[in-house]
Amino acid sequence: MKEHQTKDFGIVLLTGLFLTGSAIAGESRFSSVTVGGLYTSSDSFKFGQYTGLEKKGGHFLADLDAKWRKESRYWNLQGSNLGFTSRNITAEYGNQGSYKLWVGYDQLPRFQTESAKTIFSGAGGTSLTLPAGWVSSGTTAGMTGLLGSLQSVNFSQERRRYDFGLSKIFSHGLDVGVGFQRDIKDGTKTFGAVIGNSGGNPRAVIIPEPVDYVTDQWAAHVGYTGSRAQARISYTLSRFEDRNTALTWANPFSAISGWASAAGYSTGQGRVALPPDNRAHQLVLDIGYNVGNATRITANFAKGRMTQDEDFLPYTVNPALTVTTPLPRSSLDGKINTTALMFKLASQPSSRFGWTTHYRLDDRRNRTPIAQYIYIGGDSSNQGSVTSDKARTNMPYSFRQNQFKVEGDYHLPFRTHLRGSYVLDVINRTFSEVKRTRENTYRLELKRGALDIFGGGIYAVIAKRNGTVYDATLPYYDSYSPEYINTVAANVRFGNHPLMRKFPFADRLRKQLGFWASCTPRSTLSVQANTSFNREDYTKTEIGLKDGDRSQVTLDAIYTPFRYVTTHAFYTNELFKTNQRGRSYSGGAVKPTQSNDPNRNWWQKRRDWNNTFGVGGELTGLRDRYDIGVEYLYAASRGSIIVTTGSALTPAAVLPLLSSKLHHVELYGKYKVTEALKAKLSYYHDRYHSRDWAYDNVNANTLANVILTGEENARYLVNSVGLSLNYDF
Amino acid sequence: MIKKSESVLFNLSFWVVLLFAFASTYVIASTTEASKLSDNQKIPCLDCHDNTSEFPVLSIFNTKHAVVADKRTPFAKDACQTCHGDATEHMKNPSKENAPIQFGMKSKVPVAQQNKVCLGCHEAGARMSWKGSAHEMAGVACATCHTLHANESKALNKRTQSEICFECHQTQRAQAYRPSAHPIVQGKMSCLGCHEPHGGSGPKLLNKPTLNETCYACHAEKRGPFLWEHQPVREDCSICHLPHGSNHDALLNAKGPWLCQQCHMEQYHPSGAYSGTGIPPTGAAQQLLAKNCMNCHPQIHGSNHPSGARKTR
Repeated sequence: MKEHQTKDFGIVLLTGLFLTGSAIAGESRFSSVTVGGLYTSSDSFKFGQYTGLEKKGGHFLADLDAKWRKESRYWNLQGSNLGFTSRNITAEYGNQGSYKLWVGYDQLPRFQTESAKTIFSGAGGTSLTLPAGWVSSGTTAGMTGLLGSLQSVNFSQERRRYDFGLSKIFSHGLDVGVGFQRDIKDGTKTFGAVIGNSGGNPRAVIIPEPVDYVTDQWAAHVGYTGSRAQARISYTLSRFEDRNTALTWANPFSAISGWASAAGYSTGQGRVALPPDNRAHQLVLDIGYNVGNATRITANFAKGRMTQDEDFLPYTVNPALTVTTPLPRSSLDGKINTTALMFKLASQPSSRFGWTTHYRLDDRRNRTPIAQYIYIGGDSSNQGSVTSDKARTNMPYSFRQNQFKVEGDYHLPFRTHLRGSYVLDVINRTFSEVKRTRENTYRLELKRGALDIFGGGIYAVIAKRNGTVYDATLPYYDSYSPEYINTVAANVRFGNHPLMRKFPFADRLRKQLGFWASCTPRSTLSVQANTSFNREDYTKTEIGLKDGDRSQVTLDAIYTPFRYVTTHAFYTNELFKTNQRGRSYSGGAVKPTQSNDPNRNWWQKRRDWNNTFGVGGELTGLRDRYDIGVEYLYAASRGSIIVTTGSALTPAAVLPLLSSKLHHVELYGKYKVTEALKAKLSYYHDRYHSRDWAYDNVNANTLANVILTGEENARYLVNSVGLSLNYDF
Repeated sequence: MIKKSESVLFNLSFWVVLLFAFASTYVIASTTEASKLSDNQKIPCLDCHDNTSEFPVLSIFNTKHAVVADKRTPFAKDACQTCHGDATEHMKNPSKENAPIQFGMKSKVPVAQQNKVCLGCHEAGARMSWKGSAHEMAGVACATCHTLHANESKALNKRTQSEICFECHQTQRAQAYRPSAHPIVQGKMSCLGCHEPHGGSGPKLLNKPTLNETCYACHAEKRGPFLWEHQPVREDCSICHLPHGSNHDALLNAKGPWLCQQCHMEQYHPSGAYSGTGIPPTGAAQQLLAKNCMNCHPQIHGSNHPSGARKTR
């Protein structure tokens, strides 16, 4: 990543200077360049997560906005964050009304964690090896060299996007365009690498997964613009390439019960398939037509195909493991045909009444071949037979959504509107517990103009979703082999619990109520408030998500006490609540009794609170030379999870709160040295603190069966001072 | 698979093209002089409406709308009156009462009438689906988001676009500051990265026909198709993710393992009751700590490994 950064940084600087020179030579107007420095007081991946300011020290500040125009010919060059690894630069040259060329570059870092450690060598590559003299064991407690072998590994990725294109406008309303975009993403991210299978014998280690992706996108379009009719036909090809196909790691665990002995240390390895290369084509036709002055017809039709045919890896990387049944095919030949259609009719037959209706089709037909695979559980054992639970058939899910909507808006006196809508949403699915769901949604709203002295509105939504018969066992029968199912007692032939209702397609009653008000007593003051409450009830769910609430309140105000002073403040409180129920049960002989025992139920109550508060102000033009600004932002979240258990289960214990708090303070002053030259001094104070019991006090060897990274929750205190000069030319 | 050498070649080619483009503009810029502002004196409106008036207007000359050489623009036609309408009466007797069309949410001119002016030239491309769209039905005027008499338009700058959206979508503004969020507040992404505010063909004003296709635009590695699909992933990314920001890692809408248990209640560990007994110092459950379920089931978006039926490979 560093190599790219250095190279790109240099070139960006070079082009920036080049353009600055050309801008002056061409007597450009309304151009500006900003240069300066920024000092940050601490290292923090979280603080610099997307900006590239993850390191303590000095950073080069540079922004550029150069424009030149002569008659209709023009060029623009814009660059931001040029000194950071979050830089962006775009250049555009054209003849307005005739043609345009553009080229751009964008860099986006993502820093995940700097506190993680790994026992492996080779981070970033596709083969991870253990340190010499590694002491293996069946659990982390026996790995005497684990803590001493840990070495730091930075988990971060960087995305670099290059794009260029050309568009041309012809006579008679025709225009064409072509564009290309390449996204390169590289770095490492965490990956849970497991050896073994379920049944009590998995052993895992969190490892660095290499990210080395290239995504190319080609696009072309032809458009027509007429006074009544407009049309556009476009084609897009997206090609995703992963430079790596697989990631292999040495097994740090000794062979345990249920594994073949060769699967353990030091001969055993694990291997996962990394994201396979894929393609997507899409042809889109958009048409709009005005029927008279009051009615418009719009149609959007998109036909596409997503394909993936990368060669399969073998069932296992460990040659000592026996494979008796070969792969049914050498690659997937995966194919999904997509069709999306939207037809919309909108009309405003009178100044008081308008209506619209639309129909949407979203059809995704998965044509991937279906076959049976007898898999090997986590590179740990010999292959079973067709009568084992490892003989599985893939399920290429298809999906078809038909949606019809009608909406009306009637203008009442005093700039008041009455709006209502109805939506019918029907979804068909394959390999699903429910073949078809149908949801009816009704919405009614009464509102008065937002920017009248007093504005306000109230709305209510009610939606009811029902499905065809919910058969929780259907995926079980579709995926497991008949030979295996015949070996299972008839009363326990299910995978998921028969009472489970998956919330995406369970029967549901949804209600929403919202209210907002605004007050603008004079042009210098505006106050808004809004609140909404959403409730979802999964009416027939015994096990699964039972219900969920979401409520929020927002206050927002802008006040301009004097001509050169503006102030603002906002506050948002949002609360999520869910309740879900589970039933804990084992397999084997106790499965029938335990799965039917309500005393083995457990309940989870989740509450997520969020408070966000911001206040700021700006004084501009003081003595015609000074601008001063201040901003404060506070964002806090708190999460509570309460689990209770039935009488047949071990009593639950309290989980600590999850929390995060962000304080951001920004102060700046600008001084106008001359009409063209301004100096800016900025100070930023950023403090962040988070608590999450999943990482607090959790070391690499805390879990017996999983070697963790020992990463810590993000916390930082960063003070930054910036000084920059801005020159307009 | 792409070889590293090919990629280096691509990078070099890209920068050569970039430098060539800049060099071309340098030559052009060095050999020509920028034109002066249009001849303002020919526009009688400017006798009263200048940069000292309540609504400064002269910045319009720095925008594409004032390029006379482009015959499509207002200034190639009737200048101010192309958009603001016939001002004959107003010029005879200047007053607010007989002022021609004014734009913006505070204008007394109905929003539909304001927007009709803009759509007279801008009804193609992204605006093709404006009529009947959510924003149109909500009575949003073009001038609510777009500022025409300004050197810079916030609505056309990726770094500032979201500020406009957040003026109305205030809950989303707060969500953008959550511990897990897309890089919107950092200015590296804008709402328009996913949404088409003028009315896209997708749901929720998305700029692609479906939600998943919108996500694939940046996350193409999750597109598949995979041998072992995960049904909610194939259907709708928002079943598990909150794209505007979340308290939980990876924009998830709940914390694992309970998020997974909202759909998975199989025998043994998937159905287990996990609580404070599974965290230090009381205990240590691999289903709770670190990546929870994904400690062992990392291929949650789908696996293409023949042994990946349980999303472990």
